[in-house]
Amino acid sequence: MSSTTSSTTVATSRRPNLINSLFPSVISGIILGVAGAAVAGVLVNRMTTAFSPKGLPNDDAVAAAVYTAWVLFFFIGIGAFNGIFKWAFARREPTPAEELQLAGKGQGLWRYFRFTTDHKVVGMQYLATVFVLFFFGAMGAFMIRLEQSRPGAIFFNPSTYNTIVGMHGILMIATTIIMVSGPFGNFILPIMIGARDMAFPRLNALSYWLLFAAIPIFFSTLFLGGFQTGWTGYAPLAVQGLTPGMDAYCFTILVFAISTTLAAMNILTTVMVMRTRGMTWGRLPVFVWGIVLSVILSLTAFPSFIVSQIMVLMDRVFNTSFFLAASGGNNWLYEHLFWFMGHPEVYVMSIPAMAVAAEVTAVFARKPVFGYRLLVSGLVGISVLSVIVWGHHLYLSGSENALVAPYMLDTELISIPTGIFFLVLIGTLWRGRIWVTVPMLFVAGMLVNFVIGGITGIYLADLPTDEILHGGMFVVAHFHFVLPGSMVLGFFAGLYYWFPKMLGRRLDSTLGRLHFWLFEIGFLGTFTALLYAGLQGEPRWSANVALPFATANLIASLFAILIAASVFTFIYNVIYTLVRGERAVANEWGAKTLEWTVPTPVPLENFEQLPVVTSLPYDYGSPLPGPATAVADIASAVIEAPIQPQVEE
Amino acid sequence: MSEANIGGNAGSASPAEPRHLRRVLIIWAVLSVIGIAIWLAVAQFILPQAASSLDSSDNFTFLVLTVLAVPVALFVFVFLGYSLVVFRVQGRPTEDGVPLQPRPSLQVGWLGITSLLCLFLLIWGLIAFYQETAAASTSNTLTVQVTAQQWQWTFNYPQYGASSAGAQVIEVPVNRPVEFYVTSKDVLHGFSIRAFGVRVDANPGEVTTTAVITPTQIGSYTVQCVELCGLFHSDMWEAVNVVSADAFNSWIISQGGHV
Amino acid sequence: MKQHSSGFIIGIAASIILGFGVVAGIFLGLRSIGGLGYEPTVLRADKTGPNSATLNISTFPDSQVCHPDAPSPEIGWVTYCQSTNWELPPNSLITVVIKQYDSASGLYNGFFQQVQGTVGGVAMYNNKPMSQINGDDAAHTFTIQSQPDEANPIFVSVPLLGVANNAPSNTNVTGVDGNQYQYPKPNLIEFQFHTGPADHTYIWHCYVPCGNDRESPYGFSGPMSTTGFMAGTIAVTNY
Repeated sequence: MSSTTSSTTVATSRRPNLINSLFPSVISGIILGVAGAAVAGVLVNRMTTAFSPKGLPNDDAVAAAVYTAWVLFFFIGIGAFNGIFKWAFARREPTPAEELQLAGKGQGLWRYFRFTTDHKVVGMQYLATVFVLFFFGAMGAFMIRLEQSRPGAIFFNPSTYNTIVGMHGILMIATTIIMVSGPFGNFILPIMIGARDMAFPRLNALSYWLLFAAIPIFFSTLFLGGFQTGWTGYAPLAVQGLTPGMDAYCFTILVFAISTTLAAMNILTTVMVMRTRGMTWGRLPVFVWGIVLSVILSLTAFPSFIVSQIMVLMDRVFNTSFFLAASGGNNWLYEHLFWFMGHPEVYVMSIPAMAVAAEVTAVFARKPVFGYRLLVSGLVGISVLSVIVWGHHLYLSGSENALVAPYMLDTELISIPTGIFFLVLIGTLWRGRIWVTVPMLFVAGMLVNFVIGGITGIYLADLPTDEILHGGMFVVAHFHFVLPGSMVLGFFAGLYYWFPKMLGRRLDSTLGRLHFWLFEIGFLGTFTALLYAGLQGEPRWSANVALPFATANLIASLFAILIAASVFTFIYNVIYTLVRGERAVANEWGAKTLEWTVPTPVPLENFEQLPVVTSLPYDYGSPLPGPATAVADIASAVIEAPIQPQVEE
Repeated sequence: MSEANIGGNAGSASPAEPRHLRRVLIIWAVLSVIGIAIWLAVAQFILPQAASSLDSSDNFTFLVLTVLAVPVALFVFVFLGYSLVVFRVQGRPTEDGVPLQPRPSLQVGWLGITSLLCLFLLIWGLIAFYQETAAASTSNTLTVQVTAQQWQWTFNYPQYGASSAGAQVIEVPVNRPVEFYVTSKDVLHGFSIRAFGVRVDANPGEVTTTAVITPTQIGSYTVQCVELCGLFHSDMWEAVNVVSADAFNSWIISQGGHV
Repeated sequence: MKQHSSGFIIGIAASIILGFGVVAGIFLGLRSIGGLGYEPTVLRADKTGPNSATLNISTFPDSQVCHPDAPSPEIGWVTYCQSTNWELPPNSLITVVIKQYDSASGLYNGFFQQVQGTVGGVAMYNNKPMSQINGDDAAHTFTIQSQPDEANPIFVSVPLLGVANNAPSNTNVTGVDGNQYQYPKPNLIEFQFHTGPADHTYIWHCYVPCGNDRESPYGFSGPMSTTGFMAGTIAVTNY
C-alpha cells in the first residue's frame, strides 16, 4: 500500500519524511496562523484608523480580525481543509490506505501533532490539553489564595487580581466541561459501544484543534490589559472594558463553544448509530448514558452562550447597545442569556463525572450497578430539569418577584434525581466485595464532597437564605464543593481507572493515594473555611479581603498549600509512570465493559471483529445458593438477583 | 447468568451474617441526633448577629435547613464509611459481590421521602418569601435612595432632602421600617447589608427595591458590593449605623437636610 | 503496597518543591506584565514640619509627561503625575497642591460636586475658596476613600476645575524623559486634610467619567479603571 497523498514519495522508507510530518501539522498551522493574524491585524488597524474621525484605530475590531484570521489560517496550515478541498476537486476518492494515514497509521508520535482522525489520538490530545489547562487553572487558584491570605490588595493590584480570577474561572469551567467527554468520551466511548471510530472522524479532529486554537487567543488577554468581569462576563462591565483583553475572552468562548458543539454532535451521532449488534439502549453502560445526556444538554445550552458573547462583541466593536441601558438596552438580557447556558452547563460537567463514578464503583465493588434503570432515569431527570432552573441565579437581580417561585420549585425538584444518584452508588457499594483502589478512593471522596456541595446548594436555592448568601464566598465554596470537589474527583477516578488502557501502564498506587489524601484534606479545609467566611458575609471577587474575614481566608490559604502539593504529586506520578511505570495488562481491573476486551495498546481499528452484546456489562455475582422465601422487613428492601439478560442465550 | 430470581430472598442471606442494614441505620440515627445537638449548640456562635427581623428569620431558616441537612449528609457518610470498612477486601477480590436490585418499594420510598423533603423546603421558602414581600411600606417607612457607582455608594434621603456626605457612613433609626431604592450609574453592582438581610442588584437604568425591613439593634454594620464591578469592587463599602431616632434626626440635620 | 526506593521519595519531594517554584515564577511573571495595571514608583509627600507635609501633583490629559513609554492606547490616557501611589506621614496636616491641565468632562453624580472632608470644608480654586463647583465644570475629582472596615477612615473629595475647552496650549511642562510638552495654563487647586495613625492604607480615584465616551458605562473605562492613571493607593506611614 503506497500512499500517494503527498508529492514526495515515501512508499518504501520506514520512517516518514520529516517534511511530510511537518506539513501539514500543528507547526505549519501555527506558522500560517500567526502570519495570517498579523496581516489581518495590520490591515484592519490601517482601515479603522483611516475611517476614524479621531485618527485612532478601533482596537476591538483589530482584535476581532486578528483572532478570526488566526483561527482560519491555523486550520488551513494544519490541513483541516485538505479533505474538503479534495472532496470538491480531486479526481478520485481517497483510498483506504489514505484514510488510514489520516487516522495516523505509520506516523509514530507525530500523529499527535497533526490533524489526525483516530479517536484514540484525539482522546490523548484532549487528555494532554486537559492536564495543561487544569495546571494553569490551578496556578490561577493559588494566586487567588495568595492574594486572599492577607487583607489588602498587596500581592497583585486589583485589576490584575480580577483578571486572574476571570482566567482561573474560565480555564476551570472550560476544562471541567471537556474533562470527561474529551479524553474518555473520545478514547473509551467508541470502544465501549463496540465501534471502530466516531461517526465523524474529521469533525472529531476539528473539535480538538478548535480547542487548541482557542488557547493562544485566551492567553493573549494577559498582554492586552486583561479582563475585569470574571468568567461570567457580565455586560455592561464587559462592554465597558476599554482594552481588547475582553475581546480575547469573548473570542475564546466562541471558539471553545463551537469546538464543544461539534464534539457533542459527533458523540451523540456515534452513540445513536454506531452501537454494535446487540447493544440496545437498555444495555448501554452507564458511562455512555452519562456522556450522551451531557452532550444533549450542551447542545441545548451552548448556543445561548455563543449568542451572548457575539452580542457583547457587537456592543464592543460596532457600538450596538443590546446591554446598555443608556441607549435602550438592558443588562437583564445578558444575565438571562448567560445563565440559560450557565445552569445546564454545570450539569454538562456533572453528569459524565457521575456516570464515571457509577461505572467505576460497579467494577470495584464487584457488583452490578444498583438500579441501572433508576440511575438512567435520574440522569434524564436531572438533564430535563436543569434547563428550567437558571433563574435561581437571578433571584436578587431586581427583576420581578413573580419569577422567584417557579424557579425555586424547579431548583428544589432537581435534588430528587440527584438523590437517586446517591441511592444507586450506596446500593452498589452495599454488600459488595470492595477493592479500595485509587479510583475507588476518588469516588468515595466525590460522594463526601458532593453531599456537602449539594446541600449547600439547597441554601442558595431557597430565597430566605439566598438573600444572605448570594454573591458571597458561600456561593464560591458551594460550587467548588460540587465542581472540583466532586466532578474533578470523578475525572481523576476515571483517569486512574482508564490510564492502563490508554497508556499501557498503571499509575503508581502509593502516589495515587498520596494525591487523593493531600487533595481531600486540603480541599475540605480550604472550602469549609470559605463556607464560614461566606456565611459571615464576605463578598465574592474580593481582591481586598475585609478584616472580619481575614482569619478564615488565611486558614483557607494554608490548606490550599496541601491542594498544591497534591497537584504536584499527581504530575510526578504521571511522569514517573510514563518513564518507569509497570506495564498494565489488557483487563487491568477485571471489568466487564467492552474496552477491557481489546488488547493494550489498542489497535488502530479497535476490534478485529466487531463484538455482539447480549447483556448489560454488569453481570457480576455468583449464582444464588438455592431458593428462599421472601421476608418482608426492612432488610428485604432489596432483592438479591442477578440482572436479567435481555435476550435468550 | 440466565438464573432469574425475582422471587425475592431474605435481604440478609445466611443467618450467620450480621444484620448490616439494621446496624448502619442505628449508627446513622445516633450520629444524627448527636450532630443536630452539636449544631444547635454552636449555631449561635457561627451565625452572625442579626440586626433586623428579616435577618433573624433568614438566620433561623439557615438553622432549620441545617438541622435537616445533618441527617441527610450523615446518611451518605455513614453508609459509605460502613461499606468501605466492613465490605472491604484486601487486595484484588477473588469473588464477586452479591448482586442486589432495588425493590420497587425502596425506589418509591426513597423518591417519596426526598420529595417530601423538597416539598417542605419549597413551602418554607415560599412562605418566608411571601412574608417578606408582603411587608408593605407604611407612611412611616424611611426611603433611602442608593446610587451605586464605580466604586462608591452614595445615598439620598428624599423625605428629608439630605444626602450622606463624607466619611462613608450612613445612619438609619432603630425600629422604623426602611426601604432601599437602588440604582446604578454605570455597571451592575450588588447592594448588600448582611446584618439587615437585604441584597439586591443595582442595575443601570432601573430602580430596584429591597424588602421593607426594620432594624432592631443599635450598632454599626456594613454595606458591601456583591457583584463584580471592576477595579475597586472589594473596596466599595459603607458603614451603616443603626441609631436612636434622636441621633438620626441630628445626623440628618448635619447632612444638610430638614427634619 | 510495593516497596519504593528512596529515590522515589526524593522524587516526590523534588516535584513538590519544583512545583512551588513554578508557582513563584508565575506569580512574579504576572506581576511584571505592565498592561494589567501600571504601578508607578511611590511618591512621598514633602515634609514641611514635624506634623505637616505637602503633596504636589498634576493632572494631564495624556500620559506623555510621566509615563512616556506607555504603549497606545495608554499614552493617550489622563494621568495623575508624578505617581499614583503616595505616602503620607501619620497624624499630620497634609496640604495638597494640584495643577490641573485637563478640560472639563462633567460629573455623573451630583454628590461629587461638593468639597468634602477638607479643613474648613473648602478648597482654594486659583486662590479663591469655594465649597462646591458646578458639576459640568469638573474635569476630575480627587477622592480618597477607605478600605472595608477601616478603623481610621478618611474620606476626602474635591472636584477639580477644568480648563476651558478652547484654551491655548501655551504652558511648557518638562516630562520625565526631558522633553517639553505643551498644555493650557493649569488651574491651581489647594486644600488640606488630616491623616490618622500610621500603617493604614487608603485608595483614591477620580469620579468624573472621562473615559472613552461620556455615555454610561463607557465613562468609567480605560484610565478610570486602571491603576497608575486615575486610581491609586495612599499609604499613611512613617518615613
